[in-house]
Amino acid sequence: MSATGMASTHGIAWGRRLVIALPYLWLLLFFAAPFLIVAAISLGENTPDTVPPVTLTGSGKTYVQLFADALYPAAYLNSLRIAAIATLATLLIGYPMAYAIARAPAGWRGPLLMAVILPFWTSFLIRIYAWMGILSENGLLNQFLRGSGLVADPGTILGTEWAIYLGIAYAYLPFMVLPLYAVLEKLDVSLLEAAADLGARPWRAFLTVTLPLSLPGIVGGCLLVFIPAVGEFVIPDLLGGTETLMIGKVLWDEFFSNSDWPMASAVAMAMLVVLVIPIVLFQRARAREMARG
Amino acid sequence: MTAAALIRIDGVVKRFNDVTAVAGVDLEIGRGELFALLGGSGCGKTTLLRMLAGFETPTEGRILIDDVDVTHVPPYARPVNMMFQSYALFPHMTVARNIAYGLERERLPKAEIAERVMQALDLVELRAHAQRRPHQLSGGQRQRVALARAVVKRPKVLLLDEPLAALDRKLRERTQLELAELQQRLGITFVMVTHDQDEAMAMASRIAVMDQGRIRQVGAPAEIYEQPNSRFVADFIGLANIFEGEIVGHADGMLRISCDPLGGEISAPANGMTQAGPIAIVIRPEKLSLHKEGAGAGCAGKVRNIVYLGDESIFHVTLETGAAVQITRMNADRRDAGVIARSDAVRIAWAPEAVVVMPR
Repeated sequence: MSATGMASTHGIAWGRRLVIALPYLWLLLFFAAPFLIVAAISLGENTPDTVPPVTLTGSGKTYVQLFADALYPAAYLNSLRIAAIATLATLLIGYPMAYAIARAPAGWRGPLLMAVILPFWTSFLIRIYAWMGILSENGLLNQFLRGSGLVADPGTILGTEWAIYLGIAYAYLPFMVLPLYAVLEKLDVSLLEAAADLGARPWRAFLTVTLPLSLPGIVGGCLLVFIPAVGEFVIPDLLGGTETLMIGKVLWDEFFSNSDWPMASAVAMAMLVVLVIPIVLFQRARAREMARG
Repeated sequence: MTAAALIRIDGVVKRFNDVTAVAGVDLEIGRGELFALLGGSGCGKTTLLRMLAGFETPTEGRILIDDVDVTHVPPYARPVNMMFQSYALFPHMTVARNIAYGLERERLPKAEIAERVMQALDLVELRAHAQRRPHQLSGGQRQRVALARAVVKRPKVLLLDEPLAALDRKLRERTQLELAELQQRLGITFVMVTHDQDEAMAMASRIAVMDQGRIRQVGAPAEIYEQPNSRFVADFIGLANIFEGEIVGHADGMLRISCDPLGGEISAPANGMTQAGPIAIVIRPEKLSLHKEGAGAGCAGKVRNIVYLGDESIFHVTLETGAAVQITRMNADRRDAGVIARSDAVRIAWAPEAVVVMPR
C-alpha cells in the first residue's frame, strides 16, 4: 500500500473512532456521571443545616431504612402492579391498532401512524390536565353520562387507580404501537396463507403464526411502556388519589417535602435495580434463545 | 377425460378493480395428472392457482373439486394444499413442527401425527434435519420441507407455485425428475404454475399455455410443441420459424401454400384447415436440414451467424428472399460444426410434414 493510502486509512480509522466515541461521551456525561453522583448521595447522611443538605459519609444507613420501613417495599410493589396492569391494558389496545395499521392499504399506513403520534405535538402535562377535566366529578364524561340518562349517579373516576391506568395507557400508547407495527408490517402474508392452506382458521392462524412472530414487538412495546410507568409521577399525582402509593410520588416527597436527599437517592437506586435486573435476565434468555436458533 | 375429471373450472373470471387477471377459463384436470399452467408474467396463471387454493374468489364462474363446488369454500376447508413459491415455512418452528402443523389442525392423535411426520421426512430424506429451523437449511432442503408439509395431509390436489424457481440450475433439473417421480408414487394430482417452458415440458402430463388471462392451448407437451394452434403458442414454446402465407389449394390431405419468404409454393399437411386464405406456418428449427449449396430442393441462403451451445449449434441463415431462419443441428461429430462456416452459401430443406399451418 502506498504512503498516501496509509494516511487515508489512518484518517478513516480516526474518524470512525470519533463517531463511536461521541455517544459514549454523551452517556458518560449525562448518564454515568449523574448516576454516580446519585449513588454517592444515597450513601450519605441527611444534614438539614448544610447546603446542599447532605454529607457524604458512605454509611449505607438509608438502605437499611429502605427495607425497614414498610412504606417503601409497599410503594415498589404497588408501582410494579399498577405499571403491569396499565402495560397489559396498553397492549390490548395497541395490538389491534398496530395490526390494523400494518394491514391497511400501503398509502394509509403513514397517515394512520401519524395520527397515533400526533398527540405528542401537545405537551404531556397539558394532555393529562385535559383528562382531569374529562374525568372529574362534574367533568365531560359525567356530564355526558348524566345528560344522556345512561347513568344517574356515575361516581367519579378521577382519583382512583382506574384513572391512572387510563392515563398511562393513553400517554404511552404510541410506544406500544410503534414496535408492534414494525414487526407486524414485516410479517410475510404468505405465512398466514400457508397456515390457512394447512387448515388453520383465521383465529388459529393468528395464535400459531402472527402472535409468536410478533413476540419481539410485544416485548419491546411492553418494556417501553412498563419501565417509565413504574417510575411515573405526573399521572398518579394528577389523576390518582392521594392514597395511591407509587414510588415516583414517594421519591418526590422525600426530595421536595422532606428534603431528604440521601433517602430520595436510595429510592431511585433501588428502583433502577428493581427494573434493570428483570430486563437483564430477559435479554440474556433471549440471547441464549437466539444462539440456539 | 370428462368422467375422470377431478378439477372442473367453469367460466372463471377474476377482476381486481379494473384489471382483469383471468378472462374466462374453462378447464378440466383429470385425477392423477401432473398439470402445468404455463405462461409469462401477468398471464393469470398464478391468480388461477390461487383461486384453486381459495386465496382468491372468482368474480364469475365456479370451481369444482371432486364434483363439489368449492368456489366459496375458504382455503382451510379445501381438500387441496399448496407449495408456495417462497415456501412460506414458519420460521419459528422446527422442520418437524412445520410438517406437523397441518395434521395438528385436523386434531389427529399425537402418535399418528408423529408417525406421518416421520414418513413425510423420509419421503424427502430429511429425517436427520427434523429439529432444525428453516433458516438453518439450504434452499434445496427448504424446498423439500415445503413439499413434505404440503403432501403430509394427503390432499386431493397439490398446487405448486413455481416450485423450482428458487433453485439453481443443476439442482432444478434433478428436482424436476424427483418431483415427477414423487407425483407418480403418491398418485396425488399436481397442478403446477411455471413460466419455464422446459420445466413444464419435462414434468407435465399436460400443459395449458396461458396469455392475457386466457388459455391459448391445452395438450400434452409433444402436442403443444408439434401442433401449436396459434402463432402465440408456436412462438412461446421453443424456437420457431414463423412465416405468413396463403392457402391456394388442397388435394389428398395436403395443402398448397403460397409462401413468399420461402421462395414460392410449398406443401403442408391440411390439419383440418382447407379454407383458402391467409394463414401462418411454423417450422421448428430442428426439422430443417442444412446443406452446403448445391443442386436440390429447398431455399438458398447465407449463414449469418452460428451460436455454438455445446450439444448443438443454432445456425442463423438469411434466405435469398430476405427471410431469417434458425436451424439447429446436433454437434454429433466433433468436426461437423466446421463443415459449414459463417458467410457460407447454404441451402435449407424440409419435409412437408414439418410444416404446421395455423390461423394468422
